[in-house]
Amino acid sequence: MSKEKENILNRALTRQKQARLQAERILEDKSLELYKTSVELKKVNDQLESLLGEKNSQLEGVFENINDVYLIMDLKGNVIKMNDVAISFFGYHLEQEVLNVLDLIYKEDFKYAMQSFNTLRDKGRFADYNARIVTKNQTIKWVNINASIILDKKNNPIAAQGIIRDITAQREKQYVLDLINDTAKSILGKEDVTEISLEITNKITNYLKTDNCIIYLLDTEKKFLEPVAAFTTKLEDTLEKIAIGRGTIGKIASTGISKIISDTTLEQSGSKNNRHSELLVPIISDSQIIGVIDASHSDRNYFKKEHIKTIESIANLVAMQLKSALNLRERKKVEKNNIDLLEKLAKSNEELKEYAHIVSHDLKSPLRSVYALTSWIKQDNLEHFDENSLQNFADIEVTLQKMEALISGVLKFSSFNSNRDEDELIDLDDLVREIIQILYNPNKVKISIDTKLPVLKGDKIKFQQLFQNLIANAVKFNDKKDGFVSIQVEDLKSYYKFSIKDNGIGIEQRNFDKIFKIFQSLKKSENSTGLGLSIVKKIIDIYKGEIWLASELGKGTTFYFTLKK
Amino acid sequence: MHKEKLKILLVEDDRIEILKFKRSVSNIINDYDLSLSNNGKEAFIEIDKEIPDLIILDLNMPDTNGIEFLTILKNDEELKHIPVIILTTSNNDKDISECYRLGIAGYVLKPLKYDDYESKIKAVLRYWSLNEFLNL
Repeated sequence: MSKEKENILNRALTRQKQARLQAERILEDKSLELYKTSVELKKVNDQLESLLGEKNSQLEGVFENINDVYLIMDLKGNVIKMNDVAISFFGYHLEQEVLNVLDLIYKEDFKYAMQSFNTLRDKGRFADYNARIVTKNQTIKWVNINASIILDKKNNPIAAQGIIRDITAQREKQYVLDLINDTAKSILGKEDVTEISLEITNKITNYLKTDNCIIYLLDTEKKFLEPVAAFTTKLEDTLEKIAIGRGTIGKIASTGISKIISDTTLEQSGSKNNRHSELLVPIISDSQIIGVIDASHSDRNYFKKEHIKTIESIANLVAMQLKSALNLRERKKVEKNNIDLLEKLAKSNEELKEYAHIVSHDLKSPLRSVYALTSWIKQDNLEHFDENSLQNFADIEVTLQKMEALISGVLKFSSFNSNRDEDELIDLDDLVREIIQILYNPNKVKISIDTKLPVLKGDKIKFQQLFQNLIANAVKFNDKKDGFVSIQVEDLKSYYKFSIKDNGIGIEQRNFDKIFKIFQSLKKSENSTGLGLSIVKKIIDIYKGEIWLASELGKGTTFYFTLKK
Repeated sequence: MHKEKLKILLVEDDRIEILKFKRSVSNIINDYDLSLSNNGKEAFIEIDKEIPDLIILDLNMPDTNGIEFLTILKNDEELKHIPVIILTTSNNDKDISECYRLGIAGYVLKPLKYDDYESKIKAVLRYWSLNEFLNL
């Protein structure tokens, strides 16, 4: 072996020795570390053991002292252990009977319960399960449950535990709150009394779990309660109006105090049917009783004090809207009545006009026949009649003409309606000047317009008739040599006061009212029908003006009348 | 110039009114060919026989009144050309405007006095007998 080779081998040996030494050192270090750790662990373990024991006893205390219902069941739902709260809550005693949680579940919540149970099995827990249970004495309670699976040392599930809280009261409050919200929502924007009432009866029957609820509303005018909506499965129920103060319902309407009748058969005015419990709540708006809610149930002693509170809340809630709906209904009724009345009036007005036309036509025709026939008798036998007979013929003709004038007058009178739709601006000055020109004025009575007449809004024909009749009367009944008629007007802010003055025969004061009445002609005259001033009065009435007169017998008359601007 | 007699149909239900009309035209009756109907229904029967040159129509009649008669007549393509003169006591605005709307040749209100009546009727007939286009 060469020297060099030996050197190489020696160096390698030395390296190996060193490496081994190092490894041994590390091993020693690690062993020590391991030992230390194991000692540490033992210490921790001891601590844990004691802690566990502590916790167990603590837990035991919690189990006994917890305020919530606590129970442990096996995986089939058989209750293994319950705390005292649970015992009193469920009403079951495990020493005496076997209890399976399935027996507790409220029928309608069964599906939800099964789903939650599956969650518990699969995920090891569930939280905030809210459902109903039935206790031993058949009371339904709302519960909130948080549950978890209990595992053995090998992580196998062996049982389940649950903390159960009674939320019935809370739930009830929430339910009532929801009910009120729901009711408010359902009637929102509704204006019809019946519609609103129906919604309310629906909600109430649903809440009270009854099949009978009626809403009566007060008819203040007629002093009775009118059933406006009923939720009832009994169709044979006939709903009658109830007088205020009469019977149990009528009394609520006068006292305004809610009432529960536990057994209606004991009441004097109790119903004969099988509704044994009754709950009556007044509807009050602005401290006025506007109606009564009447719910009933076939069981005796069905309604509780909480029910009154809830129904009163609903009554308060809906009172205002019902009141405004009632007002609206009232207003609509009045409006409809008004429209009906107006239609009727318009119709009878039209009928009257038509009637007057037909009558006057039918009256005029025979006049024509009589006139023709008498003319012929006269013409055909002229040589046989003496002067007396001829005068009689002349009188017949005059009488017929008078009759004709009367009929025409009635026709004219009846054809003036109060319709002011066709009003236009009329220059009364022009109009009156025209009248003066065409007026029959054989005695040349001087007619003058002394103040310029205004322009007024109205119907031309009516204005014409108004002035023509007054001026014509003044001319006709003027017996003076230098007769005159003076027309004047005074501007009195909101209206004009016109006057038509003459120096004619005058009118006695006792006749002042009479002259405006139809067919009232004071002076028997061939060409006076007595209708002129009635027409004048009618026109003045249409324009809501007034007419009066001042007169002295033998000296003259002044007619005054006003027309609104 | 040969002229045919004016053929007039008087539609009137009142016996005395017919007498009045006849008497009014008695001295010129030979110039006219006058036929009579008591109501609208009869008038159509009359028109069926012979179409008149002129119809004088009363408004108030039983069984097809004047307005009804006029409505039917003016809606008939064959007959709508016949001039119709209303002769009535009614000066009801509604009647008058309805008649003009339907189409009439004149509206004569019966005056109270017989003399006035006679002169009105004579004037109307005189006017229509001069109307040459009727004889075309």
